[in-house]
Amino acid sequence: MEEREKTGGQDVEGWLKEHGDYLYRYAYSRLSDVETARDMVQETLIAAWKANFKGDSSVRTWLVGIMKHKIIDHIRKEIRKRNLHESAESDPTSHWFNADGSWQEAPRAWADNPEELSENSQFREVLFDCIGKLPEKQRSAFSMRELAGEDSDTVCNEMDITPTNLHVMMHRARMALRSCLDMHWFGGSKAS
Amino acid sequence: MKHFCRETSRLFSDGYERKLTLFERLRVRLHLWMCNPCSNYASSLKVLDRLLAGMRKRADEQAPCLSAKDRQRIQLALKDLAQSDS
Repeated sequence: MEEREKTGGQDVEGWLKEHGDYLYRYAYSRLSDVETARDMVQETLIAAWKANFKGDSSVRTWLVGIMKHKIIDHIRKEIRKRNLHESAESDPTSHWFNADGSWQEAPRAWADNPEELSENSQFREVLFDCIGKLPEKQRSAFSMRELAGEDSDTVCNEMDITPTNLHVMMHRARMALRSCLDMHWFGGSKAS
Repeated sequence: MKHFCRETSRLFSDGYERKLTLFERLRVRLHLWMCNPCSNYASSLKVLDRLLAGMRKRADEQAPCLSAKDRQRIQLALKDLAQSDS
């Protein structure tokens, strides 16, 4: 209570109670990492606590606006941290192909029904585990596009990358995910 | 002999991100018609795409929540901040 008085009546604990889960899902759908998502909620509420809610929009919209910036900062920081390392790597999709451009190991067809599978909690666990194994940049791009459902322009803007960069990342992410799911769910033999 | 599996896999993924040109679409279609492994790859990406669409539709009911431990940790961080500010 004392803290609320010091922040000019800003009910930050109430915001955690009311909007915490929403913010957590928002961050998780873009980062696919539970710990980072939790840290983003914490950082957002701290930034909100320091700022002053003016009431121009709803509290939730205001908090999401703060969180968007936190997530962008996090992703850009990670990208800078890993740029040197990742740019030195050769194309990671190359190990699925022979020098003549043919598959090293031919992909098999998947027989399952996607609508049923998307409700299967065990499958979801495997899928998120596979997404979690992707390199940070690919994971963020893939999560924003495919889990949060953002369009390409938004992802490019938020990650400060070109459409070509995004297409390469999505291609690599799809290739790695297919391979991981094939190995851990559909019963194939080749892992990423 | 040059194979186009690598290029086709890239184009097939690009097709989810942008509208392929007529030439690219014809090239992909022709290659998939002739190449069984690429056809399997393409169909597995379609399965993945439908899976993810299904998950987006049910995102609210399946979404993770902050654990009690996480909430407590955040509350403590906010209290620490309030104390250091005073």
